[in-house]
Amino acid sequence: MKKIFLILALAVGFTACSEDWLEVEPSSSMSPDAAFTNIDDAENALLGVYNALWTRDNNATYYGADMFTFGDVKGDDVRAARPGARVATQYNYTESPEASTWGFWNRPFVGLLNVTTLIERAGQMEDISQADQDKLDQIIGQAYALRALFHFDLVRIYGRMPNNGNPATDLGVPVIDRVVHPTENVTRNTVEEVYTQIFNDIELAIEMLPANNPADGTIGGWAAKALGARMYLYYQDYDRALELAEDVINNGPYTLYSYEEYANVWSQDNTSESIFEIMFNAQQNSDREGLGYLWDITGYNDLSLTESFLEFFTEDTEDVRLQILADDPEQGENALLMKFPGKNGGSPRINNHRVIRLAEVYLIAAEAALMNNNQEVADNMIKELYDERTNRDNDITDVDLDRILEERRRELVGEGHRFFDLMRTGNPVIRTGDDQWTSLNEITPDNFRVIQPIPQTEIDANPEMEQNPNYGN
Amino acid sequence: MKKIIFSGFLMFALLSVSAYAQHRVTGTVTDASDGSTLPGVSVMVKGTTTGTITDVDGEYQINTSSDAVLEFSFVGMTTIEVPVDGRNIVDVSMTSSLVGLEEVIVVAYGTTKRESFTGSASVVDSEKISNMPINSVEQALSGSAPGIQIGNTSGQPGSAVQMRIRGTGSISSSNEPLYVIDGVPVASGSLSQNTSFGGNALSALNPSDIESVSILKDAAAASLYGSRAANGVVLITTKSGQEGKTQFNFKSSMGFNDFAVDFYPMASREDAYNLKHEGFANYGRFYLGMDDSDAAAYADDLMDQTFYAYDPERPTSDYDWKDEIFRTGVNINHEISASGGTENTRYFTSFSYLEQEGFAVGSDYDRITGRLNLEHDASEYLSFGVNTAFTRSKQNGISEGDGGSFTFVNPVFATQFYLNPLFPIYTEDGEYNEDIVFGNYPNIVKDIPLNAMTNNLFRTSNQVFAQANITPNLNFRTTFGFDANLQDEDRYWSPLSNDGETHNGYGHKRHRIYRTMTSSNILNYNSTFGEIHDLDVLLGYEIERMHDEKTSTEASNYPNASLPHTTVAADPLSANNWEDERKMISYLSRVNYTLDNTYYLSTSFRRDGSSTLGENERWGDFFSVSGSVRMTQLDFMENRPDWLDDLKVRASYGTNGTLPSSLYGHLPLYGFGFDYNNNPGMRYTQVPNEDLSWEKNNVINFGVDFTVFDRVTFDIEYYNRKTTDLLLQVPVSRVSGFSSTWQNVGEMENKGIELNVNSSNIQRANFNWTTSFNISRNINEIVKLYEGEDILDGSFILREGKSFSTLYLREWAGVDPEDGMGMWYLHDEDGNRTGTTKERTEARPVVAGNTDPSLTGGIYNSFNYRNFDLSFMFNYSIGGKMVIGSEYFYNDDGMNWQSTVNQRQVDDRWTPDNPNAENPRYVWQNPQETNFASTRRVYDNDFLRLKSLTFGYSLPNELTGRVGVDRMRLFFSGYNLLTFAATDDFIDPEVDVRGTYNQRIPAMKTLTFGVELNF
Repeated sequence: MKKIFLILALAVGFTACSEDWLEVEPSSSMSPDAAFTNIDDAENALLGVYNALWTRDNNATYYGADMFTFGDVKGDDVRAARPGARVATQYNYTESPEASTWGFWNRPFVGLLNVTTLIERAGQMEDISQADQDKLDQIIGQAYALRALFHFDLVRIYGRMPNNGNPATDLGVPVIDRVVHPTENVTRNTVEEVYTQIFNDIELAIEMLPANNPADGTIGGWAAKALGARMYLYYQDYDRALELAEDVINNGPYTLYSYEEYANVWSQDNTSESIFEIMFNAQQNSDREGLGYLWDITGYNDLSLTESFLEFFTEDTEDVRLQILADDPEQGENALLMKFPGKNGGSPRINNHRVIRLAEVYLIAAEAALMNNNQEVADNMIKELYDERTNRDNDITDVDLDRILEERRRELVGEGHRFFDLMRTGNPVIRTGDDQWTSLNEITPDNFRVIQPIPQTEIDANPEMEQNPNYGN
Repeated sequence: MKKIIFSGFLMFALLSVSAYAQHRVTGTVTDASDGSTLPGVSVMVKGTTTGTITDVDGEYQINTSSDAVLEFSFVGMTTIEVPVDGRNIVDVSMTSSLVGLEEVIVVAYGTTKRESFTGSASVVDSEKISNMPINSVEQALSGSAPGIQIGNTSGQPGSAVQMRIRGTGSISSSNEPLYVIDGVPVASGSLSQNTSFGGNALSALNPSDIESVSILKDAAAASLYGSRAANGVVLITTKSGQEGKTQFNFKSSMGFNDFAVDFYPMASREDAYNLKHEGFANYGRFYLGMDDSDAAAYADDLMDQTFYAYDPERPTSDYDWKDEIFRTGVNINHEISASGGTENTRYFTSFSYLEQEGFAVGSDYDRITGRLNLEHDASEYLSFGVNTAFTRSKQNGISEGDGGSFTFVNPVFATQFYLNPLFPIYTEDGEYNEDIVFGNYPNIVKDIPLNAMTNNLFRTSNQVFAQANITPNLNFRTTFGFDANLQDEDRYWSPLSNDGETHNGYGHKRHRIYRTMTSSNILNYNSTFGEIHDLDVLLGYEIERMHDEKTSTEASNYPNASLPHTTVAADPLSANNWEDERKMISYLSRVNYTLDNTYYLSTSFRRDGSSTLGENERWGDFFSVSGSVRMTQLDFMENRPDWLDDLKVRASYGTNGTLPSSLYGHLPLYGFGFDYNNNPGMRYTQVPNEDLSWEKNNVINFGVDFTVFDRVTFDIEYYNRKTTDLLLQVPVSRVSGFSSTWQNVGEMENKGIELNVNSSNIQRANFNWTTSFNISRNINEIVKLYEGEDILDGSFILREGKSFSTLYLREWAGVDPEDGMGMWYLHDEDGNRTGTTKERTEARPVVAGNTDPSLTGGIYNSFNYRNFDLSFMFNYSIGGKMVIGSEYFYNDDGMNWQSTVNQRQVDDRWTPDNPNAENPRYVWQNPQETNFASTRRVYDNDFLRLKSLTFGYSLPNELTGRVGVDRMRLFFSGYNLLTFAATDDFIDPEVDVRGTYNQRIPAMKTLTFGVELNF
């Protein structure tokens, strides 16, 4: 009988469990509390946000490709190579709420969720040494810069340009400065409110980040200023735009590509103009959905320079920028732009994608100065850039906005700017030339299609979300 | 007087003999119902191995002691024990056992007599299972009990099987029942991560080791298994030993495997050639505006450009792909078991080896199993034991593909879609022809032996138990279960194969250790008081921990075609390792009360805490109440008609549940792998869902059981199972950074009736015939979806008020006899037909009925005549539909120039001479897209199938006894032997549980011959 009680006791003793025993965590993820304990965790979370800038999600690639092609093929200088091309929808302005480019809506909000939790959690970390505090400030500073960038991209895609309408009443996007629960129904803020948040965040970033240029594909102090210059330019705050741009040009560690090196810089990391570039390598890259593969003739070959652009571009035969044109067997002579030729001569699937570089800052400075009636600075900026590209002393005076936009076309083609430049300056997209296979040859900034529709799934999930005009409402 | 003296003398003589010899008993055994003598009755001296059987006249003779107890047993009769009490003549009259009623059945946490069971359970005994040439027990269940549906996903041996008990109750969680072996829940389904056909974890259990299978269906039967019982519970009990001499059983069989139903029989080469030509010509004629002669010239030219390697002079065998790829597979099974025991120790042990070749070259399964079930009584108060089993199985398979390039090596797909008999298998030089479809597609005759997709399973299932009989009425049983599965999988594409070429060889190795530990502690009290009150109380506490660890390495660029291991490859592609856990704590109780063997009442309660649920919903309570009344015990039924022997009514209500499939769906999580610039990154991947809960199943069951004429029992049941809180993926505002969350929002209902009849038609000395028959009907309806919104699901639609298997397709309107073009119906908003169109995209998909059968069931017959035994089972289904997605490829109306031509296409196509054809005109490229999904691909799926048949002959004892063999039986046994179906000329009717067929390797037919020895 004793044996029996022994067995009884053993059986119960071995297996008696408290309720805590039921707390089980996975091996490939962690609870937020466990995931945020020290500065390394904050670093991991920051890198996860950079990852959200380019990784693929339902075929949307954001800075992996979409964000660049969007600015190009919606304009007049680059086109979708053929009707079945990946970028044909962007080119044809056929986005609809049902079949919209998801990534522009989804990816920045994924990024915003993660920067916001990072800022919140990192701010709560305790017992941080001074050295770590500086490091933590750099992480939080980058988070603010990225939060500004996400809002900026959302508002320039889903909202009216500030010059064309009334920013105080035009709908922008929801401002995300806190964690939004999935079941919460948030509403859109005005364009002005979004820009207020953007400027608030970018100024915090500028304040917190040291004046550095990290060569690892992350945002340093100079990158925050350069991005800030672009954001202020869009909002027509020319004083601050010029101030930041001149700071970067005069005090930053960057120099314009020389005439000699220009043709070779595109396959390299951390070139002299590069202020913020998305770093790709053999493990982390956009593969077949990346910009290089979209251009390349051995890849999808979905993009092509337009005849009208080439006609304008090739006028000045001494311009070094012509050296990165190549012939495309299908699309014709010089139709291929070799800004994404494959890193170090390797596969065209792997390239760094430059988000902002020094030449753009010169052009921002020129435009901001011109708008502030500072003709001399505007002339100087354009001259300095154009002289370097043509390797001669050009006579440049009385630069006007058209001249600056022309220089932007030559310098920034393929880098995602043209459509936005036309829209923010109130100009229509005008497509000429037989190679333009769409019937949509003039798109004015008033056309409802220049603002993207909010995806229908978003409207379905959140009845408070207001659709942009003329998209089926 | 003389008699008395004689008797006295005899008595003295016998008594004196018994002093140093034994007491001789003789007697006659008769059937109580008609007084006829019963030969073949087993007469055993209780507690010994001494025994005999009655002769042709029902007489026996046995030497024993005068105080012995004799045990008389015979099939179909109630076993009786008769004390000798010093008698020399013991005549016995046996009564037939009321079929089923006296039967002891295994139920949740114990056994019960069928007469006192208040729930709904079907029992399948070992006879039915061990006679079938199958590798896993579920295959024996099809048709064997009402309310059971078995689905085939792949006919490759060793593949996973689907099972539904009383319909489909979940949309996104599991619909498979919980399997419990010897009281311990075990892993079932497929643990394979890397094969498209799946490996069945339950085929690790040798079906011959099974004593019985109980299928628990309603809440009263299953709710004691709580949060995992909503899809029903399958209780499997393995064999155990009996006191007595060691009984050996040896069984060996050999046979063949082939297609159960001929799969899309091919057209002849000539017909195929002509049809391809016709396709090209029709394209010229109808789409390029050519006249007949231009069209013919155009077709001649295209035939030369495409089928240039076709040479009608070469023998047909050079083009017979099916002959090279399919075969008659060999099926071999050897098994031996021993059972027996002493007064205190009982054992059953077995060993088996099985080898099954599928009908596709490269597809086979072999398995070794071993088992020891041992129990020892240490004292009156304490017994303990162990059931331990090991299995090693190896499954070689061929990818059946889930789309993409891997589908192209699927032999049934390949031989229909591109391995056209107009392409030779070998070149004129005897090399493999690799110029198939201009070299784009693989020659799988070459590739199958080069590549590998294997699935090795090492499994050990163990239960160790101890039982303390604290008092005669109170016992405590503790069981520790350990079930470990080591899954080891290889996928390898040789550098020489088509799939491997571009990678210069590719290998993917996956390891998985999936183990479950359980501890169950049960206190059981039962007592009878006041003579008429029976009380049975059970209290239990259990814990379970599942641990799952997976490792995978993947590499390409191999130095040669000899070594498949990833270590030799130059380019590592991935190396991963995961570890997951699931835990559960449970408290359970049950009270059964019986009044005067007439009124039965049972209640059960279980409380489960699961690690997979949200904080607010972590603990779930499940209960059942049930009762039954044996009407025939009641006074007012005293005067019932003679033929009514037993009548019982019962009712039950209760709840149980299904846990979410996701282990961590409730947790807020940061996920990793979001790396940047070679540095690790993490992201917020999941928000907390504190309210994530189990899916709740509420079941009502009513049953009437009765027996008539002493031999036929009927069980009739009605059930209604309503499942609420079904998990559905609900889209959320993307502004949150998330796309959807899981919410417990859906509702679904299954209701139905079941009838089961068991009949002992004839019980004679030399002839026995029993029949069982079952029929059931289940009606499924989706009651609630998130915001009432439809969910599109391939060819199906989930819509409130409709069945889960509701089809949503464009409606095919047949072929226009004038021009042979396909037509589709147009519909207005309300779904009414408004006309027809020849533009596919003008027609919109509509609700087009569902695939659910109206009636399903089975018929089983078993005969014993002298030394012969015969049993067979038919299963059937009436009113169901099958949707054949593969017809997009297999019956493509000419779309793909290379696609194979089957006989149906030749026979049923439109031509000017055959205007009322089923299929439209055959046109290359099929610009009309008539082969796309539509109701044209929906077929009636009524079938009757001879699921299994066993015929045996036992050699006379006189012969076998001389060599020490108690019984020697020769048998034939077959599976899926005959099929009568609406579609039996081209496709197997037993498809998956939702009635879909997509490119899978169809079911197998098996014929085996064997010998069985008992000694």
